[in-house]
Amino acid sequence: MMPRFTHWTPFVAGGQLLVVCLVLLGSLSYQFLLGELPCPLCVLQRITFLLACLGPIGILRQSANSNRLAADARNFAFTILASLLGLAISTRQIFLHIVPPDAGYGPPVIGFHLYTWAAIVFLSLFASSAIGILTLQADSKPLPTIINRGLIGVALSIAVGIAFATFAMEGFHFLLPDDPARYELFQQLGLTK
Amino acid sequence: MESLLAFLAAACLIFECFGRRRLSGWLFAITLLLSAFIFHLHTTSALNLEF
Repeated sequence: MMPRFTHWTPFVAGGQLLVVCLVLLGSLSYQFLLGELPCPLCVLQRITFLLACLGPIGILRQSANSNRLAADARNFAFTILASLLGLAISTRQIFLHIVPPDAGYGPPVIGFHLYTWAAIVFLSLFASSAIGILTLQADSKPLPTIINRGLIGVALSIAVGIAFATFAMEGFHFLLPDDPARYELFQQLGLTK
Repeated sequence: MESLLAFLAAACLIFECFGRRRLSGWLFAITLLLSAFIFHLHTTSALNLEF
């Protein structure tokens, strides 16, 4: 039976986490399957996506453990704050490539570049956070445990993978190069020429 | 610096999962502010000398 409209907060949190995981998996597959290394702004967008996961993870964890969902809906504030910065970064990147002769950074996906999709997803996170707060009820039913734990486990795995992938790209430099072309860490360790 | 931010973000999520909510909140704030600063560096600093 579908829950009443006023009990959708755990579903909204689960949906947010699922979408962010899919976006990050897509960007990682671009990096490792197609060999497209992300630029610094792309990496910063990945980091803000990870930070935006803090809200849904907190809500899913608490809704499974207790009836404190009403108090913990403030976790959506984390998602909103992180999405605000992420939207600023993706908008900046759109503006960098908006002049007509510029073909954009990386290949487009379904008509849009990845940073344009990122802006759309950040806006969706804003809207869904508002819906999650609006539909909040203290006695909302949690998602099934296997879905809760599965989503959180996938998000954590992606976060750790992104951290190590970024370290491999940056190496021991202070900042990522503006147009990364290789894994600096392997170069510095002498593993590649 | 970006790799440090990525590790901080991952640590933030891990601490949240293990119930260390206060620590996770502080890590979130630090990572968000540092990300904004690095964004500022990449956007306006001498890194973009061609402007």
